[in-house]
Amino acid sequence: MAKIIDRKRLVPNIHMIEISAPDIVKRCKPGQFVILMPDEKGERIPLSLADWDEKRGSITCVFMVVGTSTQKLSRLRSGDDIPVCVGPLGKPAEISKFGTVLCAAGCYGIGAIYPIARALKQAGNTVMTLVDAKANYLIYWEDRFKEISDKYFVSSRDGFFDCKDYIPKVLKDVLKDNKIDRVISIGCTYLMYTCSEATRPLNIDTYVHLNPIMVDGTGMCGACRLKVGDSTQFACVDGPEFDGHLVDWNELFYRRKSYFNDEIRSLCYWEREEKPRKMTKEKR
Amino acid sequence: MRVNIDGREIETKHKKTILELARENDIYIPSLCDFKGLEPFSGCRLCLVKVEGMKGYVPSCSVFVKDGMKVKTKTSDIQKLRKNILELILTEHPNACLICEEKENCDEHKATIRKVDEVTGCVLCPNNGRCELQNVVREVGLEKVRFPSFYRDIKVKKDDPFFDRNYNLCILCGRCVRVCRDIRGLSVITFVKRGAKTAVGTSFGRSLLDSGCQFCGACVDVCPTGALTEKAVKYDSPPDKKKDTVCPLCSMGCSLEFNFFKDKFLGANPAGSSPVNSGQACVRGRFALRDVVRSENRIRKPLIRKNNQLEEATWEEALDYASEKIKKYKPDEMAVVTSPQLSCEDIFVFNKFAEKVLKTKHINKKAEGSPLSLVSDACRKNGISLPMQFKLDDISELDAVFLMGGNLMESAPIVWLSVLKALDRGADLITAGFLESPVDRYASKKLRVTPGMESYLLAFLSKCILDDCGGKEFAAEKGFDEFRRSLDGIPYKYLEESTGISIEAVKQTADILRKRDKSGLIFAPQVIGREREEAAAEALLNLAFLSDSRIFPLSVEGNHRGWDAINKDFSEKTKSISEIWNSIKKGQYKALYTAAPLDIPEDDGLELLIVQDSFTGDDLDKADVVLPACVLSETDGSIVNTEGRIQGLRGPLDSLGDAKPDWEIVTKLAGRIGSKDFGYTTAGDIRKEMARKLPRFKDISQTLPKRGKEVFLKEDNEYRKKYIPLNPLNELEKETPQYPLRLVLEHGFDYYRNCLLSEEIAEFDLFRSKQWIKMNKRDTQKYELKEGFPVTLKSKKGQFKGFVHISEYVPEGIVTAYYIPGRDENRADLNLSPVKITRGK
Ligand code: SF4
Ligand code: SF4
Ligand code: SF4
Ligand code: FES
Ligand code: FES
Repeated sequence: MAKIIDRKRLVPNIHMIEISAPDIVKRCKPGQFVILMPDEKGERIPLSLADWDEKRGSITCVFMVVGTSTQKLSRLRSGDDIPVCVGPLGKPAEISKFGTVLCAAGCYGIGAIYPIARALKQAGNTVMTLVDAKANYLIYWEDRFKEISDKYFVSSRDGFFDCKDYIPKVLKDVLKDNKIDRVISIGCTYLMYTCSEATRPLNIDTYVHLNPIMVDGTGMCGACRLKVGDSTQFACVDGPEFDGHLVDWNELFYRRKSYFNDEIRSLCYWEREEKPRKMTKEKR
Repeated sequence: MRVNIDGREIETKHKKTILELARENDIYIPSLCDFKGLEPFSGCRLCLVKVEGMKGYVPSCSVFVKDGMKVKTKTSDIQKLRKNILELILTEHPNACLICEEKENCDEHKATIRKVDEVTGCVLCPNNGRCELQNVVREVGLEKVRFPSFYRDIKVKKDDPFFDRNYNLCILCGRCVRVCRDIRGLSVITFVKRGAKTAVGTSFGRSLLDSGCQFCGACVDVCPTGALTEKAVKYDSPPDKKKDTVCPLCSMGCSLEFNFFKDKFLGANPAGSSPVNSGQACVRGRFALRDVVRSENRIRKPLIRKNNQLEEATWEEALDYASEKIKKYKPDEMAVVTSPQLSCEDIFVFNKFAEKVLKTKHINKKAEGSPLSLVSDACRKNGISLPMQFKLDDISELDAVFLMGGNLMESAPIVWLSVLKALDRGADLITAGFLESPVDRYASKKLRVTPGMESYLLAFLSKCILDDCGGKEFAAEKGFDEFRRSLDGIPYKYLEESTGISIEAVKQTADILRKRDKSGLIFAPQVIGREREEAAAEALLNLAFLSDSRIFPLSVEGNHRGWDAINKDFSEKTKSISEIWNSIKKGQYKALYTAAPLDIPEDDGLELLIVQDSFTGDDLDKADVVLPACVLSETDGSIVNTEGRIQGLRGPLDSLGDAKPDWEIVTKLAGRIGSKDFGYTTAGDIRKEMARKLPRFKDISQTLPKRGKEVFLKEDNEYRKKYIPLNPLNELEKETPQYPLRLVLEHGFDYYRNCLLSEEIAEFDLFRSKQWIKMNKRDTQKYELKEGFPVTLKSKKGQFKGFVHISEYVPEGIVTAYYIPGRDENRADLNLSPVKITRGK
């Protein structure tokens, strides 16, 4: 059992959850993740660490509501218990002095990339951040990033900021104007893919944090298998950080859809059966 | 009229708007608030055009064409203006994907995140790919939105059944508001003020469940955006195939379109071009049918009882087993129960089987609580003949509507829409029943009659008419004297007391009925016990003659009219399902073959029970053989709706498992018993024979009528009146301190064969539960009960259980519960009697 300290919606669909995890917090490194279960019946959800606080003994994750289990997670309140919270899992992100690093993120990745950007800054890098969203009201943690970034770029399709182009285009512009030694990208698979493709011709090291379907998170089930270069890797133990230029994106896209129909059935079942039955029961 | 649009000369006859004319001629004018069948609203301003001689720009959706009119729809000014307007609309609507170049790739790669909570772009929207806003943006050629976007951040409403409401996507087109108010007569959703801004929603932001929503889905179907979306399909792709069919779930037989994506059945939508329901439906067809036909409780294989357990068998085994057993019984030892939820072909074959093969007379042909059966029986008994079929338009053309019986919105929602049309034209509505109902708010007179005393109320009306006009004009008519005498024998005072209605109210009503040009008596289903129901039907006929009103006796189940018509062509002997049930209870039969849901009584004495159904139900517990039947949507059968319209189902679905159409099962059984194979190989063969043998089905043909083709049951056109003297009723047992409440059963409509909608569909249970015991709020306070409490209703004759549901429509002192003939016979005994209510399971 782990206790929820706080859960709040940051922007539409994206929530932040702070969990009391005194054992985990001592070993947390940027780029690692934890696995949570919202209730005894739900699935195991891998979530990147977005922050942690040793004094409070807590870890923080940012997640997107995108299915039954995250729906359930988004309904938890401070004081609730969740049955499973294990971690930290996965290899930490590579942190050293690279020179100038560009962190490009969107969606839940804005939260996930934060501790990495922070650590890179502490390691003496020049850190530039590029944040992308569909609309201005989907941007969060702007102040946190401004604090640790030497340059902060933001683009949203609604033209609220200076820039409204989709991330690879902006990325290219930034790369043109600045000498960048390394790019790190976290967000939806499509965003990470397009960022990797944007840097490939320029030969800039690009690392992505992949999000395949996971089950155990300890290298046993094989659900998170990916092809990176010539080798097969397990995202949960070999990653989640991989070289974006070596990842077999097509396979990853394909594998991410494997359970799409079941996921939808599960969500429909929850919305149309479990929830109404619960509502009826509560009345009776 | 000649109209010039963009230089094209167009001829037109009828009155129509510029937008309509343009559409008919494939001239595109963007529009978002306009919708066929709804009053023009001129809200979105996208349809602006320039009309020569008129100042400024005019909304083409609300300006009617005139001879010689010159219209320009595409000048660069207009195009620019439209872009501006659209940009403004989009500032409050997630617009990223609408103008994003990556959209296509995104659709491809981001499919899996469609399951999000809140929609912040088309790729996440259930409406993606079927959205009118997307189309308009494309057509107008908008490429950017110059203003920053704003998220309203209104909590998405997901706790109501069947559909979600996300007002962050709403463009305030007002279509839902207009359809709910003008077409459905409800105003559940209206324009409300949120702070300084207009928004759409329910009053006080209540849930739909608490706002009287009937979940007809009309608002969902007209919404141009993803603001209103059906839960069951919101993550599915838009359909790639549609098939025409008819809803089998009530007597309206709404035309539906079944939607498919890659052959997966997604659900049903009302068909727009139908003469029956023109784009409307109700909760059953729109939302429940999908889950019913593909229920987990469908029976997929024949079953035979072995060692006291039902085991799967082949059709051969099951049919052999059943036929061998049947052969052992004499005709009188066997009963057959059919259902008005079967197709005409099924019912025909069942009757033939009972008559020719089993030679039993014990087959049910009368329906409980069915106005159609009651009125047609009363006519036959008394040698009366009058038109009993009608078209819905006949109702919309009435000047006065007298509505007797239960809640029309529940029993016959589409008939209600026709009544509403009549009211729009200025007709008067008088409601007569023991319950209040949501239609009452349109009534100019509400006659809250004491339950069970309906026939007296009708007699009361007749008496007032006669006393007012003296009655000379009727004196020569058949049966009149005796009828008059029977009325003269009852003093007004007695009528006032027994019905609970004042003579003034009755007189005024009588006046309306008599003086209005076209008055109609709609007789909706209600359950008040056989004797009282019969008396009411007779009294209604008398009133119809005296007030020169037309009678509209409604039918109940999907093929009630067809069932009634076929049954009567076989033999005049009629039994109701309750009568058969009572005989079973007395142990009169040894074998029973049922194709209708039946609550088999304890100690039935049955040696053989054959259950033929599509769904598992309690009757399976005692069944010896179970024969899996197709649901109607899997068959090529025909059903007759409440108007008398014969409609084809045209099997849009494949049959599930080994299920077969009912007629085929019966035919196969017949072939095994003696040599009485009927020789049908398709439903068309049966229709051919029906057309030949049953005069009323003369107009059906081997192939089924297409949608919109009018094929009706033949009716005999004679008009023969006869007055029927008033039958005195037994006094109702009085309430006592020990049994202080009165139970009145309401006809339950939410079932299809053995499938109870509220048991099958969790969301339906929230909306309308078969387990409800409805009562007035003040009574719940008096008896210290709360919504949802488990309770037992007890009378001197018996008891049953349920859950309290507070209803503003039930008057104090009354409790109601649903009754489905055959299924709830134990409840029937308690009807109209004093009961007490106690807490506890
Ligand atoms: S309603 Fe239409 S335009 Fe708006 S997000 Fe949904 S699909 Fe896109
Ligand atoms: S479902 Fe029908 S009754 Fe309910 S709000 Fe929509 S239109 Fe009105
Ligand atoms: S909910 Fe839909 S139909 Fe209703 S006003 Fe909004 S956009 Fe129009
Ligand atoms: S999640 Fe099971 S091996 Fe990675
Ligand atoms: S369609 Fe004419 S104003 Fe909206």
